[in-house]
Amino acid sequence: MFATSTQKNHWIFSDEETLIRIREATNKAYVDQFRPPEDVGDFFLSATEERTLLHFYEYQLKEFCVKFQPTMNKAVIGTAFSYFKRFFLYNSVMDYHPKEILVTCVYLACKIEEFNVTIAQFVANVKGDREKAQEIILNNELLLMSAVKFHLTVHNPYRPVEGFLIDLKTRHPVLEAENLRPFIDEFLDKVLMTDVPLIYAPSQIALASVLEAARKCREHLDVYVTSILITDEEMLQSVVDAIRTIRLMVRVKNYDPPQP
Amino acid sequence: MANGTGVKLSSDKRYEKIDFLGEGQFATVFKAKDLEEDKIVAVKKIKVGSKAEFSDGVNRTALREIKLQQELHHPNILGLLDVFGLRSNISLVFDFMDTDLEMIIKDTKIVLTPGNIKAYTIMTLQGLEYLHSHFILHRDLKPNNLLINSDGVLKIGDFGLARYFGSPNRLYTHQVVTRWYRAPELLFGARNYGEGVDIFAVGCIVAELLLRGPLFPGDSDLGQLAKIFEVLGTPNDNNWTDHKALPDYCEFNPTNPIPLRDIFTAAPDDLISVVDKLLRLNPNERCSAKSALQMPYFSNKPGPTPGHLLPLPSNVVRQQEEKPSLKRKLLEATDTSNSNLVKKLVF
Amino acid sequence: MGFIQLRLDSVTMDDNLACPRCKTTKYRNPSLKLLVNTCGHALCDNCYLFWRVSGLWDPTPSLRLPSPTLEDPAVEKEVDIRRRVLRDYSKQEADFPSLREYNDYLEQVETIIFNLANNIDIIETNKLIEQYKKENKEQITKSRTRKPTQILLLEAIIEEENRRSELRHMESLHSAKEEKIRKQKNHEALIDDLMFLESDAKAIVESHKATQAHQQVEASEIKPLPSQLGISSLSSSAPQPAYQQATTFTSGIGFGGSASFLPLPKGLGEVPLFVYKAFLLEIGGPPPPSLEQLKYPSSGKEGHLQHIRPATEAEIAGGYHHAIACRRALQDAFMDIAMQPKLLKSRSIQNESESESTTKEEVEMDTS
Repeated sequence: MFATSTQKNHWIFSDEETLIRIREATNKAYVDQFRPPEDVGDFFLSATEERTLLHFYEYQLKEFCVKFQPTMNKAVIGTAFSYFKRFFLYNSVMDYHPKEILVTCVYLACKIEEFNVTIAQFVANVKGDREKAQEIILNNELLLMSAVKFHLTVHNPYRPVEGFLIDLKTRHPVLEAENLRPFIDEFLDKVLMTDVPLIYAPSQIALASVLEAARKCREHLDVYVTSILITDEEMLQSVVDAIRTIRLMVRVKNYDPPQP
Repeated sequence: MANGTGVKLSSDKRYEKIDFLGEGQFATVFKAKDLEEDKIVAVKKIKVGSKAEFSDGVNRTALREIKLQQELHHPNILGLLDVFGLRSNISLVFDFMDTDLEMIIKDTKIVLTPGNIKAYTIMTLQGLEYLHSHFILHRDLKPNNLLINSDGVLKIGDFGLARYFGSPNRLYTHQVVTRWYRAPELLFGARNYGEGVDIFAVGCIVAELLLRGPLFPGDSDLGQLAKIFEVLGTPNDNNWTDHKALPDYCEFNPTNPIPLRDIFTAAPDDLISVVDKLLRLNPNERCSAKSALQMPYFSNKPGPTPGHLLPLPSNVVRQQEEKPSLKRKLLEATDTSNSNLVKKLVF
Repeated sequence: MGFIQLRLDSVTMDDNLACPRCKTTKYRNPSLKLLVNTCGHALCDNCYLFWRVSGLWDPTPSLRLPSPTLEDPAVEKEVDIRRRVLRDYSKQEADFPSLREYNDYLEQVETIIFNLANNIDIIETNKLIEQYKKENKEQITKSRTRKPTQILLLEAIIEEENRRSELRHMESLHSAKEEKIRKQKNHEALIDDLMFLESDAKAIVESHKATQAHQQVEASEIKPLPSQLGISSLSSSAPQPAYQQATTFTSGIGFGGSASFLPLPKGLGEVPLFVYKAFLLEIGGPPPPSLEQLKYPSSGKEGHLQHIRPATEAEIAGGYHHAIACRRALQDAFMDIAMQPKLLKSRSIQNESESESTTKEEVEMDTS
C-alpha cells in the first residue's frame, strides 16, 4: 500500500522546484566529469534541453504502449512511466539513450505487473532490428533496476479511480458515474506526461481526474468532496490544495510532441 | 558523485563472505558480514541467465521477492536489507537466520513445550496479519519457510510465490503451496482465493508442532484431499456452500469429522479451538490472522516462551562465533507440480 | 470412516497376515500397510483407497485416529477405549477418603474398560458411564483443564536444566575472566622483575613459569560459585567459620536426596502473558469501510458491493469475496488523499548538489 511504500518514502518530492533542482544537479554532475573549457557553448545539453528531449521520448513511450500487442493494461503503462521518470531524475540523457531506456522500462514493468510476455513476444512490437532490441533490453535491465534503487513496486491511480467510482455510485448516485470514464482516462493520460506522479499520491491524482472529468461533463462534485468524502476541515484543505495544483500542472503542460 | 544514485557501484565490498549456506535452482546463498553495519547477513546471489536462448532476463521469481519484500517491514517478516547488482548478478541481502521451524520440529532432542508452541504460533500469525493487511498472500507457508534466528525471533521468508490479492479481474494459479500444507480449495482447483490459503497452512503447521510430524502427508493431490477429509470430514452443502462449483471438484465418500481433541490429546481446549478455526474446510469460515490472535488461547496461561529461551538445534549457538561449514541439504517435500517454483533454499 | 494406520514391523510381524479383501500378505508385498479400525477389522492401504474412491462397500462405523504404536489390533482397541474412559474417570488418589475406596474406584474403571473392549454388556456399561459423567460433571471439566502431571514434570525438568546450564555458563565466564586477569598480572610482574631485579633474566623467566604452573593447579581446584541455596561455600584453606553450614531447611526437610525432592514447576507464573496489539495503519484520509460494513451496510439498502462485479459461486467457495476487492479499491482511493508533499521534508533536499543553482526557470513552459 502507498502509505508505507518505497514510492512514498523515496520517490515523492515536495514540488516542481525541487525536481528542477535535482535535474540541474544531475546535468551539472554529468558535465563536470569532462572538465570542459569555459566556452563550452552548445556542446552539452542544458537541463532544459534535456527536459525537452525527455518529453519527446515520453511521447514515444506512450505510443509504444498504446500500440503494443497484446493490449497492455494501464498499470503496466503507469509503472513504465514511473521507471522512466525516476531513471532520468538522477541520470542524464547524454549518458544513456532514452530510446534504450524506454523499452527496458516497459519490459520491466510487464514483468513486475504480472503482464506475462516473453522477450520474443515483446520485441515483436519493436520496429527495426529485433535481435538488437532484445540484446539492449536484457543488457539494460539490471542498470534500470539499480537506478531506481530496486524499488520496483509502483502505485498507480487506476485502482483508486475504481474506488472513487464505486463510492460515487453508492453515496452520490445523482451523478452518472460511468459517464466520467472517458474523461478520467484522458486526464490520466496527460498526467503521465507531467511530473505529477513524482509529487502527489495516486489517490490524489485519481480524485483530481474524477473532478476534472465531472467539470467536463458539467457536473458538480464539490458537495461530494466537502460533505460526503471528507468530513474533517483540516483534511479537506490539504485535499483541495493537492487537487488544485494537480489540475493546474496538467492544464498548463504543453502536450504537443516537440519536433526532433 | 555529488548527487549519488546513478548506477550503483559494486557493493560486494561491503559484504565479506563467511560461509556457503546452500544452493537452489536460481540462487546461491552465502553467510556474510556486513562491514558497514557490523552484523551477520545472508546474501542470496541470483543467477541471472546468460544470453542463452531462453533467457528472459532477470528471473521473475527473484523480481517478485524484491518487489514485495522491499515494501514490507515487520519483525516477523524476513527483512530485505539491501539489493545490489554486479555484472549480470543480482544479490539480495537478508537478515541472517540460523535455523527454521522444520529443523526444530525434526530435532528429537528439542522439547516443544506449550509455551514454545504458543510463541511460534503468535509470531507466525503476527507476520501474517501484517502481510494480509497489505493485501499480500504468501502462498507457500510451511515450517521450512518460517525462519528463526538465534534470538528466537521467527520470520516468514521466501516470497517467491507471494503476490497481491483482492483484484477482481485476476486469476491465480491453484498450483501453489507445498502439497502437505495446501488448502482444500486449492486442491479443488480454485482460481480465485484469499487469505484462507495461508491460514489453512498455519493450521497444518500448528498441528505439526503438536504431532512432531505433518498432519496431512499426502502423496498426490487426490491422496492429499483424502487425508484432509479423513480428519475434517468430507464437505457438504451445509458446511461449505458451493464447493461443488470448484473447477476440479470431485466427490469423495462421505466421512464424518474426527474430533480434534482425539488427535491432539495433549492439547488444551483453548488451543483446540484455535486449530479448529484455522482448519475449517470452508475458507470463509476460517478465522483471519487478526481474529485468531484475539482468541483466548494466546492470552491464556502459559505465556509464550520469550525468544532467548526458545530452543535451538544443537548445531546452532547463541553467540556470534563462526561455526564450521554448515552444508544443509535441500529439502523439497513432495511437490513436483509446478516447474516454475524456485527450488527450496535453506538459509 | 477412520482407519488407524498400522505399520508392519518386518521383524515381528507374521508373514501370513493378510488383507481380508485382496488376500495380499506380507510375504507377497513386503511394504504392506494394514489399516485398523476400532472395531478391530483391518484393510490394506490399496483396498482402503479403493473403498474410499469407489464406495462399493461400507465397513464399520466409528472413527479414531490416535498415534499408532502397537501392533495387535485388539490391544490398539483397548488402549483407545482406555484413553477415552480415563478422560472422564479422572479421579486421583487424593480425591478419596481411604485407599480402599480408591482401589474400588479403580476396579470399577477396569471393569468398564474390559466390558467395552470385549463387547460385554455394552448398553449397560455405557449407561453407567453416562450416569457417572452426570454426577461428576464439575470434577471432570476441572481435571480436563488441569495439566497432566507428566507435562508439569517435564517443564520442571527443563527449567532446572536451563538454570543449571546458565549457572555453569556464568561460572565458566567468571573463571575465564579471572584467568585473564591473572595472566595479565603475571605478565606485568614478569616485566617488572626483568626491569628491576638484578638476577639473570633466564632465571627470572623460569621462576615465573613455575609460579604460573602452580597457580593453574590451584585454579582448577577452586570451588564453584555460591550455590543457589544462598549459603556461601568455603575455600579449603580458609579458617573454620564461625557458623555451622546448614544441612536442613528450617522446616526440617534435609538437603540433597534428589530422588525425593522434585523442583516446583516454575514456568507457569513467570513468563509474561501475550497481549494482542492490533496492527495500526495510518490512512492519511477518510477511513474506508471495513469488510463487515461492506457486507452488511447499516443503511439497510445495498451498499458499495452492488457496484462491483459479484463473485461467482466458485470464487466464493474458493475464498474470494467481492467485498475484498471492493475494500482494496476503496482503501487505495482514500489512502493519503490528504498528503502534503511539502511536509515530506527529507525528500526535498535529498541528493541535491551543494552549490544550489539560483537560476529559476519557467517551470511549465518548455521551449519547443
